[in-house]
Amino acid sequence: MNLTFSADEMAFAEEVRTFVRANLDPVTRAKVMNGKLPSRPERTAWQSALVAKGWGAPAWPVEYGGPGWTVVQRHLYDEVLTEEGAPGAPVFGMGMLAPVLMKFGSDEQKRTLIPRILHIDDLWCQGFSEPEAGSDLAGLKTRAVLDGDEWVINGQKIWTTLAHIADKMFCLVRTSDEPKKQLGLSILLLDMNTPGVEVRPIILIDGEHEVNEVFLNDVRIPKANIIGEPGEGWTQAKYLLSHERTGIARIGFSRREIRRLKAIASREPTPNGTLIEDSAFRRRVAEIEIRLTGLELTTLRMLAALKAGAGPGTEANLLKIKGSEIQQDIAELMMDAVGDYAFAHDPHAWVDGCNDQPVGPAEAGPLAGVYFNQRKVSIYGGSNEVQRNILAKAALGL
Amino acid sequence: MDFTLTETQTMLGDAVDRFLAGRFDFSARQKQLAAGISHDPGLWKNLAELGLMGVAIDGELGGSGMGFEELAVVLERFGNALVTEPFVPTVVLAAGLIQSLGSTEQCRRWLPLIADGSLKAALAHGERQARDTIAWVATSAVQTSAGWRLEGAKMVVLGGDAADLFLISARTAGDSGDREGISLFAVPREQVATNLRGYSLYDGSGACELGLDGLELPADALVGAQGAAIAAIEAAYDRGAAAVSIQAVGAMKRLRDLTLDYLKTRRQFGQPLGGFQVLQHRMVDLHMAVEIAESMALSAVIAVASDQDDRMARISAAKVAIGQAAREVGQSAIQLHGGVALTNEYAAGHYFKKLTMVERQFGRVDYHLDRYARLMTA
Repeated sequence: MNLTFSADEMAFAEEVRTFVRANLDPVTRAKVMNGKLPSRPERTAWQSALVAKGWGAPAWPVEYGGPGWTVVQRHLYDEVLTEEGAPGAPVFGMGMLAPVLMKFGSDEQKRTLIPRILHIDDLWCQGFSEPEAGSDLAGLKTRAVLDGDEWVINGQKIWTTLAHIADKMFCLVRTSDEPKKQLGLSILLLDMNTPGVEVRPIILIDGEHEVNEVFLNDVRIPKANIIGEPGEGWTQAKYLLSHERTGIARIGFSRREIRRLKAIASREPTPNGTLIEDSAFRRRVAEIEIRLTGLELTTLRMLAALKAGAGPGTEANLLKIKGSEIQQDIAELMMDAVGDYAFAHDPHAWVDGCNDQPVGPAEAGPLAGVYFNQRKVSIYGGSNEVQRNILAKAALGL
Repeated sequence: MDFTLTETQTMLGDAVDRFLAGRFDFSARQKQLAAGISHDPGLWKNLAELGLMGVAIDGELGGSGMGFEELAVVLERFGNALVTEPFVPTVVLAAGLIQSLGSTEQCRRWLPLIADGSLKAALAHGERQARDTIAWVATSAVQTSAGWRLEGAKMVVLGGDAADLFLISARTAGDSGDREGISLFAVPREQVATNLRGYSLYDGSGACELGLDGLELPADALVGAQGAAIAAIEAAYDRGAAAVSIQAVGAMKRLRDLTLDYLKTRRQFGQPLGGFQVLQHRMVDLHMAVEIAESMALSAVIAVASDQDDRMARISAAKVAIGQAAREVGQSAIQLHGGVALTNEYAAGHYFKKLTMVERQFGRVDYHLDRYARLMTA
């Protein structure tokens, strides 16, 4: 048994790290490191650098521009990029839609849409959840009816991340009524500027705007803008959501946040020195670091099984539950590290271009908001209750 | 043992409930928050007209001469409705400190104004390095020919954005962590206005940062004996802990109702969410946490009037239990709801934010657990 990476794998990780440090814009890096969203031009610039290097889509097959890495290399690449503060890949296009197009899409869709995803010429959002269809996704009601050469779509989507800046949406809709409701669903592709598409913001309890409601009123799109055949949507959606959970453990992100937590704690004064010297606080950091180590080793053990040829099973469900709990507990500890300043709510002071001095240390401002916001990670992408149901049934046969 | 409320207490609670339902329901609160307002002078005036500011102030000073139990009845309702007004800073902290430390003249000058709603006050005590060490005061007060000169800074002064009068702690002798040598000074807002920065907290209430560099005060600014304010400040913090604990109970009860209602009405997979056993059990745990929290908050309320060691042990016990319950109830309520509870337009998230803050105000769980462990009998 050997629980370390091979020399080749270590060298690969080092190569990635060197590349990121040499090519990532420091302003972009600083934003990511401090939990802010990079602008679209900043994201596009970074993606262009990766594409030029041949690393633009690490999980894609070689024929679509993927680098042909092993699962371990892909894992190392993701973790190093995150640790080094690189902007995340555009998950809806690259991580979800593109794999579905490769497997189910028409030749025309593959030829025209996939390269635009790679270069972020198109930013995609995902129209799945509806007000009455959350965990019970197959109960969705948005309907598309064929009228000549066009689909006419009516309905409402909710929790649509980044719909307010996206160019396009892939949208799960009902195209027929079947005894088994899953069989009447299809995925349609639409431009966000099509007449009848209305995006309304949902402000979350941290005061931020990242999700939306999307209303679809007599939205007409070409008949060809469907993936595969009508009724195949549920199969495609399940395939797509299995990709959503790849990397869901977010180990690199949590490692980076623990490092930031320690840095913040070493700047926080206490009557006896700094917070990082406080034994009660150190025990809390130690505990979470140990939990993260357990998750990381488990991820690697599961990756090793995949590399050895085992089919994907229920790993992602386990990693999602444990990874989300760790992310949430780190956010809580980070909020606690800055003491009472965590609750000063002066959001304008940490927006780009604002000259107001923040209340307390600048790093303290967003931390309570991040804690509030991070409650979402045990809810989205299939709540942790749903994940446990899947594990009980599929992993344990209960 | 008698857990029943007196007739007066019941009537007081009902009156506050009725008033808040008509004047400060969730949509009224949403409008106020959207406007960036933590304190509404009109609402404050209405609350004063109900007699709430003077509940625990002597009759001859304009109050009704009741006690902390009656204040607790009001505070639970304020927690229930998520009132953002500076009631705890003014009525629980400042009025109490003036009563316990102030001269007869000072009591006569300020308490009637607090009772009739024309004066809001705040305790400016917390400092950057102190965290939960109440005796940590680095701000200094040096005697001058005219009175006192202060040097230092106070952080996250609750209610400080709207306060007319500040009670500022400063060291007149000793080193930063010493219990001896801490004095309290009363300072009208005008004298610190140029070094005051007000802002909102995540629960919609207000606070301020206070810079004190070179602040000159007259000799009669001193409240209580020179160098001997720590015991009264600790007692004020304990009252604060009891006050936010009972507020938390009000908030938890409302959040429990919201969550239960959602489980009964929201349908997924062809049945109410409440039909799923895994959610039933989490809801039951939430319910049990609220019940224990209420018992412990009542214990804290009664303990306020007790002698020092008993008071400190019981308030610490309560703050530990309520801190843990606030975390469990807040997190579980969000998870049981799902995404809707994370939106600004739905009430549950606002209760979650309040509970997250209460868990950390007037001593975090770790602090009170340590204090209880020191005080408990072997």
